[in-house]
Amino acid sequence: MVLSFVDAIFTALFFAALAYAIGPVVIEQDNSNLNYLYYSFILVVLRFLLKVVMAKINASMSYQIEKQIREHLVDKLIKVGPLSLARSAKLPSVFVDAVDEIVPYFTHYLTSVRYAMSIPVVLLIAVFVASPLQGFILLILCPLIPLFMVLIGKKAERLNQRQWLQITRLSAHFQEAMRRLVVIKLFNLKKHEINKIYLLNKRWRVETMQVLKVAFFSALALEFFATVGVAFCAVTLGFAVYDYGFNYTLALFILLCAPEFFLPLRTLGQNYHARMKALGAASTMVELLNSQDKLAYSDKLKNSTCDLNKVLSEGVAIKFEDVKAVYADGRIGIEHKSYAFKPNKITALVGPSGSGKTTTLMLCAALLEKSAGRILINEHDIESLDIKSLRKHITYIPQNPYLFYGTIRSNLDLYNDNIQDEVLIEALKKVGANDLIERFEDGLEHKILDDNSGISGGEARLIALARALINNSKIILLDEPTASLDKDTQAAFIQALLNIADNKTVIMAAHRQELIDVADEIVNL
Amino acid sequence: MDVVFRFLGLMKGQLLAALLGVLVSVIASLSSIGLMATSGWFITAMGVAGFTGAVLNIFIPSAMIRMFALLRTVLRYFDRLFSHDATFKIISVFRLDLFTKAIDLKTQDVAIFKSSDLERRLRSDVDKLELAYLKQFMPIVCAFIVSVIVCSWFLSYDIYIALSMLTIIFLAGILIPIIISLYVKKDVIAISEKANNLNDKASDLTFGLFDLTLMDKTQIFADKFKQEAEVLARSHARLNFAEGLNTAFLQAFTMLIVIAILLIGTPLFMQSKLAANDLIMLAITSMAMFEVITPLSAAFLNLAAVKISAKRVFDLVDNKAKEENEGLDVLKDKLTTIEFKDVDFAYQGCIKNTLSKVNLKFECNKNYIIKGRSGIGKSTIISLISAIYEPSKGQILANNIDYSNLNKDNLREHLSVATQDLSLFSGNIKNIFTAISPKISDDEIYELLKIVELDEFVKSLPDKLLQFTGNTGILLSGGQARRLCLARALCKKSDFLLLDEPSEGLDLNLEQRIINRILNLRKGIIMITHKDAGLELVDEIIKL
Repeated sequence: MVLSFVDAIFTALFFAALAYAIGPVVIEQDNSNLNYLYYSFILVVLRFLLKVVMAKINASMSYQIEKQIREHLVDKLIKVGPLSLARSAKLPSVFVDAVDEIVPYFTHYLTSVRYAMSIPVVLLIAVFVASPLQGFILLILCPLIPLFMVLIGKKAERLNQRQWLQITRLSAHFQEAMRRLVVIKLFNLKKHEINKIYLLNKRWRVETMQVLKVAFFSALALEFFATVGVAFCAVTLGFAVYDYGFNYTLALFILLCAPEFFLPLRTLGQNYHARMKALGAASTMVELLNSQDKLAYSDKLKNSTCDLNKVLSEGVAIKFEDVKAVYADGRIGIEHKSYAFKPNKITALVGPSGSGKTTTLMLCAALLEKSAGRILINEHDIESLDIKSLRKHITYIPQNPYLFYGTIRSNLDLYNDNIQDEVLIEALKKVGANDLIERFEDGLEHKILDDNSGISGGEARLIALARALINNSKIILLDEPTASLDKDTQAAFIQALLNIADNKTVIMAAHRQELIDVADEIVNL
Repeated sequence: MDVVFRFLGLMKGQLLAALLGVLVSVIASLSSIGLMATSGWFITAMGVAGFTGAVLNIFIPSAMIRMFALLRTVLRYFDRLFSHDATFKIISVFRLDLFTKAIDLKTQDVAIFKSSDLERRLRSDVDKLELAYLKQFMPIVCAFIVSVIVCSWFLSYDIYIALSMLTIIFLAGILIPIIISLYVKKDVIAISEKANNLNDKASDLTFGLFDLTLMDKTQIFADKFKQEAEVLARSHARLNFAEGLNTAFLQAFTMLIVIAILLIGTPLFMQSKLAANDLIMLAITSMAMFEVITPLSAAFLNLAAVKISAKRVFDLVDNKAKEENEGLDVLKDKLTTIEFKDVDFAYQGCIKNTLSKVNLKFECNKNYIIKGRSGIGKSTIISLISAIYEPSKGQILANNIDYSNLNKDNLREHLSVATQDLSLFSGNIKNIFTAISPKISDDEIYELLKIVELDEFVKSLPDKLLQFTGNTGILLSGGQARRLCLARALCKKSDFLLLDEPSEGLDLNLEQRIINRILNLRKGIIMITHKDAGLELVDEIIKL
């Protein structure tokens, strides 16, 4: 802010030096003041240096803001935890695109606000000192500009939101079409799809033009006042000089200042869309930022006196005593449930959907906190244990395991470089997925791209199982792991599970008979 | 540069609008410069006249000031309106064209472009190109014309004044922005790559948060994300600085030109070679040129970014393997036979063949079942028959014509397929059928739904056929979605009906009923299954 005032003063001084140098020359053919041009040259250099410093400050601000917003968002995501967040397909874009749209608000919009607040003020004072009449003209025109901007801006905002919706639809449709490419081909839907895109595109164009028409209209109003202001100054100054012998040097100074006076306001108008865009983008972050920090046990992570390795060394028994669990949104998961899971056995959790199978698994995984009753791990209350370390002994396999972007290797060791290739390959062999690395030319280094390219759903589950083996998990939790698999793939998965189940406590929410058949124990909810 | 020109080549359809845009823009800029020039001239002339007591015609210049003021305001409005409208029309056509190209990509090649990347190309890169006309072409052409006019006007006063103006335009408008843009070129490239990377990392964190929390790896992944984000922020900051630096130069040069003109002009004035009002007019005009040089310099500053976007878009358009409809032959009559001759197939990047030396023959008056254990390539056969994939070796013949000579769209008109992945478009149930046969009646749809035993279910929905299904799984269970895909396949008139595990996820009795019903319905069915339903109803069982 201070710097932009300094900048404004430099500008005013520059014009003053120019006018002072040339004024006498023109009127009295007296070039004795011409050396003021050299002062003005110094001002040019000073202003240039100042601008470079300001650019540097602005850049480092952009760096800090962009970095900090992203870091804050990620930290928040981790605190919120995996359970209480509706992880919509749009969420990742909050971390990338939305931040990109917020930063210009700080770097461009706020900067131009600062200019709009400093330059006109300084120049106005200078003009007032030189000649009150022209100062008055500028003063009257000046507040009209923001007034019009606000009036028009209100309407533009509404249109802008509608246009935002259009472009989102268009983009969603692109994405869907790309993913359904095979169907489009098989059913010759090309024309149909192209027509759909055509219509969406047309609507996007019409709506965008509507937004822009309003924006252009506001620019028109702005330009109108700026131009009228300059013209008015010029004409009145001309008559003042001619009729009343007003000092020409001062007149020249005012004329030089007039366009400069309106420039920051025009720039502000141009950068106004940065604010609108930022507001739109910020609204997508609100959901995440307003979520409660609900990661289970996050306040009880450190105070443990138990030696976890000792507790778990002889297999893990889990016991629920009259447990009740409530989700962040108030939904009751289970109530008054008591059951025991025996160590080193496979237990199938059966029951109709909604009976609390998934909730039970979440409680075992320490991803959900019980709200009543007790959960015992080898007779130790779960709350007395080091939860973070406990979790490391758990592998959870959901219905559709997620594969991370990266290679097959990084999906197995999750960037733990201490694990040897042999261990990874051994684990893959044990779950019967060694075909994965034999199939691809680049083996473990095979890249996994969108939609788990080249790796089937069955194989994704096997990778998750292999991970359990590599991590040496003591507890494996599975949530209907074969739900969408065909019979053969299911059989392969069950075989893999049996291969690695030795000395592990396996609890699986099971629906299919084949899965229930291999369980040692059955707990009916 | 050629990519940018190529994009501009697309404007042919809108040439008139584009030229009109340039013309209006030039006149608007000239009015703006004219306003300042006349103003400077006017007050100086008045000043001198006042001092010397001469009489002056004050009406023409003051009228000119008003005229220029009005012209500038109104023309700027129309300038924006015309040029944006023209751009959006061009972009609409271009986007559609690009989408058509993307649809025609071979399935194997879609894998080369990640789908998120593909979408990015279609959206944000095209958006950037849209600016190419508005922020590149227009300012450059407009600045060129205005500069020529202003400099030749300056030339009529003094050659050195004209030359210094020209030098400043060149330095501030072209040379410096180009140098600065070279300095940040690697950041521009980095940004377009990193944004994609960061997207992947963000997906990992959001969708993998479950596993990461359990494995206590959230911190590692968060740190990786932050590292990428830091690099991206650094690049953005450097671009930001470059922009600021460019503005600093621009402003300095605009001030310098005034000083230069006064320094050159004052001696001329003292020697009475230049009138006082002309001197001030030239000086102020040179300052007003700022309005033209600013967009010019921005155009050159952002040229690199536009080039990258243009390249990404044209890469897609030019992708060599795209022409899957290069085959010209069409099937004139019914498709009666499909024959595999020594067909090999391997997925991209795979060492092992999924299929080796496969020889099969299908006739349209018979029904077939293909059996075999999972992973042996049953589904691949369906993809090969429907020309979604091409064999790596060997031949597939339709009515004895090699597939590679056939127009694939035409071929697919003879086929109907129900694939394993449940790919329904978001929309309502009726849309699924009307997309394939636009004139189908509600009764006919219920007829189809009855075959897969979904008619009662659909009737029970609040909006019946108009029920919005969303993507698979939102409203429908997996089994229902599968049956809906089956009904869709039945809806299409075809010589061959290809069914990939149609009964997966259905209970045994339902499966038996649906399969039997379909197999009794028609001939030319090729069904993949690993179950036993329908075995007694087909003419041939193929074991892989």
